[in-house]
Amino acid sequence: MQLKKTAATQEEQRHQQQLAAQELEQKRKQQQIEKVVARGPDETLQQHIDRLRHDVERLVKSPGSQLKSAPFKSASSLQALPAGTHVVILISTSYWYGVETQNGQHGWIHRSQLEQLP
Amino acid sequence: MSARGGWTITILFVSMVCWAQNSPQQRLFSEPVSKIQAALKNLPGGTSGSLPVLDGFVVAGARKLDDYRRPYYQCSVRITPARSSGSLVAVTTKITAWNSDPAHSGYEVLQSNGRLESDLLDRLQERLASTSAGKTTIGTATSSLAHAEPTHALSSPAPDISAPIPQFPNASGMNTPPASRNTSDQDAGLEQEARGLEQLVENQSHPKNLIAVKQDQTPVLQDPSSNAKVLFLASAEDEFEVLDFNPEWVHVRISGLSRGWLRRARVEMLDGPERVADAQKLAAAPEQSLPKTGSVSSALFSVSSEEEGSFPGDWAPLKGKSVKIISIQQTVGTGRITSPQDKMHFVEDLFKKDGISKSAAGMVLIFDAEDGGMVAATQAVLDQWKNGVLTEQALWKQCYLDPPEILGTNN
Repeated sequence: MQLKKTAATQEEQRHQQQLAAQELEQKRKQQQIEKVVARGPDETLQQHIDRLRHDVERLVKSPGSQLKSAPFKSASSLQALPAGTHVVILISTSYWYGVETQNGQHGWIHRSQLEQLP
Repeated sequence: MSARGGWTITILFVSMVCWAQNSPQQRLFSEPVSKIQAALKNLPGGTSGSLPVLDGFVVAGARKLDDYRRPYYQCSVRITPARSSGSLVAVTTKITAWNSDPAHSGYEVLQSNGRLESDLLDRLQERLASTSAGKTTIGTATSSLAHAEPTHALSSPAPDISAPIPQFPNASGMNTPPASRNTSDQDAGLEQEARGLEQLVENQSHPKNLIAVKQDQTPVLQDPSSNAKVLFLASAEDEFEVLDFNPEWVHVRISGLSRGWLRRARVEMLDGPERVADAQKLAAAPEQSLPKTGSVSSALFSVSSEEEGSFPGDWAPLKGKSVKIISIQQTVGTGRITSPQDKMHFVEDLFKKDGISKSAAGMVLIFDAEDGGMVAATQAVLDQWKNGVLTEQALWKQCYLDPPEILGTNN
C-alpha cells in the first residue's frame, strides 16, 4: 500500500515537472517570437521590415525546384519554381518549409532548395 | 520580391471548397456582383485572422475549448448573380486551432456557430451602404482585403498535414503603389507592411507531431509487418504526420486518407522526447494506463480530423456524394488492439453527438489503426435511429462496414 502511494506521488511529481517544462518551453518560444517581431531601439522602420522579411521570406536556389503537396520527395508536385522565386514561410519543420508563393499557391519545399534573401 | 510588391491575400471566391466547412450563410443584396466584389476588396476587418477566444464563435460540443490555442479563422465568400440584377452572397468559415491536449495534439477544424459569417455579411452591408452614401471609409489597419484579387482562387488544396498551412495574415496596404503616396501615407504603408510581417512571424507554425525518415529507400508498409505490402520507398528527410506508434512501429498519414507504417528504428521522432517516453511507457503497460470506468472507448480513441468530402468508396447509398469524414486514431501509446465493442461504443457516441451539415449525405468514420477500417451511414438512417425509428441492431445492419466484422455485428 505504502509502495503504491509512493509510486503515485512520484508519478504526480513527474507529471508536474513535465507540465512545467512544457510551459517553460512555450514561454521560451513566445519570447523568441517577441524578440524577432520587436523593433529595436536603433532600428528604422525600413530596417525592421527588412529584418522581418529576412526571417519569413526565402528564395528558390536552383531552377526546377518542385513545390510539393506534402513534405516528402515522392509527394505529387504542384509546380516547378524558377530559381530566384520568392516564397513566404508559413510552416517550419526540421527539413521542410510549408510555403506560399507569390501567386498564392501553397505547398512544401525542402529546406536545402531555398536560400536566405541577400 | 517586396512583400509590398504583390503577395496576394487569398480570398476564395470559389464554388468548390475543398476543406471541411459548415453550411454557408447567405444573404441577398440588391447590388450587382461587381459592386459586391469591390466592396469586399475594402471590407473593414477583412475575412481572416486570429480569434482572441473560441468561445462564442464555435459550436459548443464535447471538446474543451480551453485546450485549444492559436485559433484562426478564414471566411470563403461566394458571390452569384441573383435574379433582378442583385447578388447572392454565401459565406463559409473555417476555424482552426491547435489542440494542446497531449493525447490529441494537432491542428483541428472547429465548427463555426455562424457568428463570423453573419458578422462578415453585416460588415459588407454596412460597407455597401456607406459606399452608396458617398462616404470614403476605405479600409482599416486590419483589413486583409484591400488588395485581394476577387477572381483569384486557391488552385490546390493545402498540404495534407495536421498543421494546415495558415492563410496569409491581414496586411492591408502591402500593395499600395508608393508613387501614389505622400510622406505620411508612405509611413502608414510601411507601418502596415511591418505589422503584416510581424503577424506572419507570429503565425508561423512549427508542428511537432512529425517523424523524419533517416535513410533513403525506407519502405512505407501497408501494415505493421515485415511481410506487408510496400506502398512506396521513402527518402531520407521525408516527413510524415504521426498517428500512433509503439516501440517497434510508427503509423503515419501519407496524404488524405492514405496511411502507412514505418519501422520505428528507421525514423527520427521530431516530437519532444518527453512525449515519446510517455507513449512508450504507456505502450509497455497499456492495461494499467486505461481507466476502469465505462468510458474506456473514449479513452482508447480520439478524433484526429474532420472534413467534408466525397465518399471514399463504392457503397451505393453514398457513392460520389458529399459526406462528413471523421478520422479516428487510437490514443497515442495505448498500443493495443481494440475490440469490435470498443469501436462500436465509440461509433455510437459519435453518431449520437456529431452533427452533419445539410450538404452532407452521411457520415464516414475511419479508424486509423492496425485493426482499423471504415464505418459509414447515411444521414437518413442516422436520423431514423436518433428518432427511435430504428433500433441499434437495425442501425448497424444499414451501415457500411469495412471490414464487415469491424464492429462485431457480422452484417
